[in-house]
Amino acid sequence: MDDLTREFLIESQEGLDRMERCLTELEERPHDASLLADIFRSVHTIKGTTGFLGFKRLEKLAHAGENLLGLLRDEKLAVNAAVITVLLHLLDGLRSILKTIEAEGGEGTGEDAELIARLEELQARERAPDAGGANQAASAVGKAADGGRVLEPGSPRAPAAQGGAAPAAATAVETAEAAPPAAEAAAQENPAPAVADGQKGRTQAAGSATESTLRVDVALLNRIMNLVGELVLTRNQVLQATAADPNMTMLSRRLDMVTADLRESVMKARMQPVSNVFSKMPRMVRDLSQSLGRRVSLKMEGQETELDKSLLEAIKDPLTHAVRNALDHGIEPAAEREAAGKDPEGTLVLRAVQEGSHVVIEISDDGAGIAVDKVRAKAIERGLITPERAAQLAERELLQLIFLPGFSTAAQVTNVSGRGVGMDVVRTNVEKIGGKVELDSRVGKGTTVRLRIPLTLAIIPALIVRSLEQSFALPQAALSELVHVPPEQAATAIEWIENAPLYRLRGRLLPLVFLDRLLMPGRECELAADRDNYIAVLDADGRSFGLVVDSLADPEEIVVKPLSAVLKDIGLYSGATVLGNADLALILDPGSIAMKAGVAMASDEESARAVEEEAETEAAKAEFLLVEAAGRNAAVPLGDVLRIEQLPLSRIEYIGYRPVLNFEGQLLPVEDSGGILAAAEGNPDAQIVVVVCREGGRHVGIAVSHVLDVAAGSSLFEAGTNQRTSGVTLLKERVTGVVDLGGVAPLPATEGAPEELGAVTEGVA
Amino acid sequence: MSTAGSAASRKQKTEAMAEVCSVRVGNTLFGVPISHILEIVGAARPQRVPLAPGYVGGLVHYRGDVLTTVSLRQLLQLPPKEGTQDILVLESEGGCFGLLVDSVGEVLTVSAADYESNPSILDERRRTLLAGAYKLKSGLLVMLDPDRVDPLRLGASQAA
Repeated sequence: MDDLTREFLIESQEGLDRMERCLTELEERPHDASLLADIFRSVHTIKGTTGFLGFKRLEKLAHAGENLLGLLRDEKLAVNAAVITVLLHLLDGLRSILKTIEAEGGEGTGEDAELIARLEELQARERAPDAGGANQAASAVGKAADGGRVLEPGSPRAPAAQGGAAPAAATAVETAEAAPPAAEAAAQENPAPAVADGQKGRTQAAGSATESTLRVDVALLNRIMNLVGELVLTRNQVLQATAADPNMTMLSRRLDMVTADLRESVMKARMQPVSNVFSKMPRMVRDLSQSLGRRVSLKMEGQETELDKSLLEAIKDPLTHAVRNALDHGIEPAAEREAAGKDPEGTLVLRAVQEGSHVVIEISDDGAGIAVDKVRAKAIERGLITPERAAQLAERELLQLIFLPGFSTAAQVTNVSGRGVGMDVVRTNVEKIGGKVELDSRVGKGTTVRLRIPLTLAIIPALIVRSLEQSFALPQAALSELVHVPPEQAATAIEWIENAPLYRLRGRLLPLVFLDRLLMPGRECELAADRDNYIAVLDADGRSFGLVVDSLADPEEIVVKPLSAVLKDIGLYSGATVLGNADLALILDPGSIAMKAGVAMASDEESARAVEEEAETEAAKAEFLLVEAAGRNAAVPLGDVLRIEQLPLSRIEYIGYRPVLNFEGQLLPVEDSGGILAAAEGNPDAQIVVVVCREGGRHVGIAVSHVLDVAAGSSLFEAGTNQRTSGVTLLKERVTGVVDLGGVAPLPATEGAPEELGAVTEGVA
Repeated sequence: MSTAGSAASRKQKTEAMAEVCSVRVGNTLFGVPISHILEIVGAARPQRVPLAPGYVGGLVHYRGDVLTTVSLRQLLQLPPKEGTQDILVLESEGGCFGLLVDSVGEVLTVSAADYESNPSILDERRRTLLAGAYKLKSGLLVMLDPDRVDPLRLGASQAA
């Protein structure tokens, strides 16, 4: 394909994207002349350039569309839903031809007669009632069309038109870039002077934008990124080598700064606003809500949030899936909504926000929410889980079942969703790029799906582990915890079922994969008794397993380098990286390792586990983190614990009386019902422990003196009534209070009223 | 290049000169046309890749990228060498790859007149890798065909 055509494809693509945006807006503001003018311009530009490049089919279709748009623009025809639908079809038609050109170089042999007929039919409808006006319009269209055809090579009219139009048109014939402005100039011959003037203004604006921006090949950006990565490594080595020489300090410090700046700038160059993906959504929501018979208003927030280009591409599918799901399963039909006392029009909110090193994309609807009972029933029906096991799962865990492959709660299969390929695709795709999917749902209130995406793909946090005297990088995204097995426990730590090594992790049997054995078949599966052993507990694609490694090095931010095809085929490595000490390390792919080692999906795993009676009773008990606060013990539900932070007291700040922790740019309310903070005050060197927990959609911190243990709790029953008691549990044979996470007052920034600020909950019993 | 030695080719001798980078592996002096060589990296220690095909000599860090290397010793079924090796960075269709050799020698100018194609007694394995030899005063310079040691191609032929 020549450069001219490529340029044309890119520009037309942009024009059509703009047209799509305008069309959905036009539906809300049907009388906005500037929107119509914009749409007209997009189609007109395509028509003008196609004639020039000789794409007859495309030109014919664009021409038919332009005629209709001309009438609309000149207010000879009113915008209504039928018109917009046909225009959207026109958009799709143009897009598909462009796609064919991109793929095959030619515009294909498809017929657009039907679409053209529909476009013409709408024009004819206008002509019938007002013959005079129509004649005028027809001649206007004819003229405009002539103007558009001016640039056709070999056309005898071309030289004449060049003379008539602005001088720009003369150069236009020779250069591809100038083709659209030339088409513009031709359009000025149009009989509607006001609009033509408007176009002229916009052409100038577009001209200045071209001067300050530049199209860059993504491959080139990738190359620059690579070289910057290289520079970072060289810098590290220079810094090490010059550390001792005072004369070099200034120079190396400067090198350090410039490199950091450069790296940041290159990363920025790859960033694009999420609006690039969000902008496709109004159209989709419109089409879907029409075909499903729902009334939905779409709100989009944080469109300016930026994300790496490749990641933006990667979230397109998951986002589309999630929006489809929200419309099909979430938002109810209008009648149903009214019956439930809700606004008949449902609301779908797309929100993008940057949180530290991640971008969070939220898709929330105010629909029916997910009925946990239905999820349970469906999962059992599909054989994804045994009834016994289902009975033991908490609501939150049951909700996670919808991420299993083959799960779909749609009562009937629609063409929108319900083929059982929904949420598992969302999760797989998001995890593939090192992200996470979270789900919150309240029956009757709605559902929120949260996609947590890392800011950039090129650099990922990883833990460096060693095995076979070699370094390997484990992506942090898949790592859930690390278990240390000291030498004296090496002999007893692993249990076996036949030849399958298992580790008992808090009562559950975790399948083990020995990295050295995996990479060098024939080695013995056993822990070394003469040194420490480590188990990295990994969670990939719903598979959970322990990877046994020889030792751990530091966590590092690694720059991912692709591997050659020969090494990719091995299937265990997702790339390679250069470590700070200039060593090379292969990046392990936890998903492939699980597959290769035969670790089953969580669902199969669950049912297999049900057979193990002992493990069963162990797992039946809820687990708690046993903490000590001001001399008393308390329990925190382990499932809610995100991490445990030990930090100096000085890190705690106060909003009014509320202690808060500024954690990586996010404000965490700290619950201090045990009075730990007050007791430690006046001792600036004091270290405190904060247990960071998840509570609904927010995170809260609990200040404690020590973390004691993890233990399974048993329910207690009230004497006489035999009712299950809440707020306490039997932990290690002692009645222990459970910290009430829901009782932690929200921060004033969200919705907490000022008088709530000092509120202290009955967290610690 | 056909069989050399005829009067005609002797006449063309001055035009038919080629520049060849000489490398040593084991006791043999091999030659690689310099037109295929991007760069020579000295004293490298490639990082092993567990489970990789045998001919892969490991990975090296090269200009911000991670380069897959092919071990000529492995290809020729020679025992591995202790210590560092030199690498010829070669260009191929699928990008670059490195060729691990014991040591890189000087660039020699050889004449087409001294060329002779593979002898018939050469075993099948070597015949596919080698592209004849130049008769030098000091001995033979065995030519390697850079395309035939491309890891992509080696991978494909192994799979077949």
